[in-house]
Amino acid sequence: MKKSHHNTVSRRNFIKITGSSLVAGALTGYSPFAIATGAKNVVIVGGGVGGATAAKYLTLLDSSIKVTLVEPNEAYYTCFMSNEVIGGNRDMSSIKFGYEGLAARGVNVVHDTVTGIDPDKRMVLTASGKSLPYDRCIMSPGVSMKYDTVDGYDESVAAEKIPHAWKAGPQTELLRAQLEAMKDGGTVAIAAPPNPFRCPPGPYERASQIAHYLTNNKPKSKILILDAKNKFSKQGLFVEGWSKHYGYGSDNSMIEWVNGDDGGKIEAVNPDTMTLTGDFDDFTADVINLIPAQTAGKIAHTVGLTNDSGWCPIVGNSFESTIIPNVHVIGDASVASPMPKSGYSANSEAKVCAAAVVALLNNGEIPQPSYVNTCYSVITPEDGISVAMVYGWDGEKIVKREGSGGLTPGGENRSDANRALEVQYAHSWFNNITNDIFG
Amino acid sequence: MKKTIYTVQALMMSAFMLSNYVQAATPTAESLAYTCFGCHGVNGNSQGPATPSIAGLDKNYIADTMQAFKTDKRPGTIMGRIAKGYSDEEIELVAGFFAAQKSNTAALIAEPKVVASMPNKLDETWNAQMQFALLDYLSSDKKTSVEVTSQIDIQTTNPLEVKR
Repeated sequence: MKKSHHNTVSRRNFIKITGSSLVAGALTGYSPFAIATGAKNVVIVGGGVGGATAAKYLTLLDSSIKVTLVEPNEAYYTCFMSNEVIGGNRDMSSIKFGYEGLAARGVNVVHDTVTGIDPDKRMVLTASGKSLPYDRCIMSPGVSMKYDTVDGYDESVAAEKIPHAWKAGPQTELLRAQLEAMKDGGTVAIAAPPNPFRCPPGPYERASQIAHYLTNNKPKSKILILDAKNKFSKQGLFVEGWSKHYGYGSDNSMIEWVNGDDGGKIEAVNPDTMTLTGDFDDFTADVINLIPAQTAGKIAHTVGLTNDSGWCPIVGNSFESTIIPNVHVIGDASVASPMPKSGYSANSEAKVCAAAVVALLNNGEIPQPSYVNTCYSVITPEDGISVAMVYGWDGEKIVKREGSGGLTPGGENRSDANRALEVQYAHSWFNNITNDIFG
Repeated sequence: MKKTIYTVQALMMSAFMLSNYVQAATPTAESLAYTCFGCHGVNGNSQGPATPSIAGLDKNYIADTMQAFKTDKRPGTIMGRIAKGYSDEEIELVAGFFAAQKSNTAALIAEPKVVASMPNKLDETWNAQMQFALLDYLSSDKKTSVEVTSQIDIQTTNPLEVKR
């Protein structure tokens, strides 16, 4: 991948000191411009999209802050575009990113597992016995799988036989290998999770990518999407693309979608017989991709950042937890609706969070944020679709900016060039956002 | 008495509205522009293949283009959906930010040795991004509503066939 050599970010005026804080400063005798003495510590937990972006932007916005990033793995595989790996259109190496770029920016990258925090002493505690002091902590713990919602499913079954592949890595490669080994005429079952979950269009892009592979290599095969839901993200666009490319809706459709009401919700799995049990029927398949219900990453539960929903409530202009002060939560684990749980959202949230943390550590006011999400899905190498939205902050909550956003327009009348262009934009987005995060 | 109560309520209402207004301030140019990097690259220097670099472009050109997307005067695959999320003031701020950024392309031009060592790179990158922009325009179903004011040779190489 090409790397920019001019990957510095202009930060002038990013932290706006407002008139009201100047007045307050004059009245109380402290200056909002004064940089507090003694270096401030920010500890970031999790080196995925949210955590890595936050680390980078903290170093750019205030080089006096000591930034520590705690992440167990030496490399990160992006979930986005991992469906192209499963479909055979992309190498695993192209979605792999290391932390050298962040280290070169002065981020202290610690490969360790966080086991807890001490919110009173403001310490992040690790498996190797470290106690890392923080003035502010940013948690980007991602999601964890609720294996207990499907009888017979657990982490080892997922790792060895029935991958969820919902965190890119070895399971992505396992699923790809299973598809390659499958006979022509086989059945691939994809069990799609209930809301809310990471990457709402993801299961359906995955079905598209697998359908493209099977069409060209094993055309007698079938894909069965067993869904806990009755509708899904970008449904109209996916259905249109499946109809155009994979015969969806015809007697000869490669893809069949079973919705929740019709028994698509999966209650149990038997890895020995390769059978999924729904409310009404059993489904046997040659390859099973079982994506279970999800909740905030485990560490968020351990330290008590989650509410009854299993996700982390936050204040949307700073992403500070409403439960534990001085701890911020970004990315999929946070409740940032109406923003979806996506990579672009996590990247955008991390920048807002970093700016707020810098302001708070310097006794400034939290800047007025702006957020964007764009999610591309690749149906074939020549047909892409997207959904986009601009978000703002109304003083109390994150809101959609009126008039903005929406789905790829045009429906079935879209030109072939337009379809192909969206794939090129999707790949441009991948190149640019990964450079923004890790470069 | 009743009148007084109404007045107090009105005062409280306006204070509430005022505080909301103050909080919903315009974001800084940086807050706005940082959200663009995901597609257009850090500081507007795109890694390609299709999303155009916007670093160092003329401020008025960027603002006019955003306005054209916002008002559906210029068709596009995605920018029409994005541009509608910004006020005129915010568009000016974003345009000012990217106009002030150093363009990687310009930096390469300033270093003849770099250009000499990769003679085709600039042409390729620039051509591909320009042709993608053209294709975006020509492939949109909204183009019939647009007055085409210049003659464009549409027989350019299809950039989708350009191997990146």
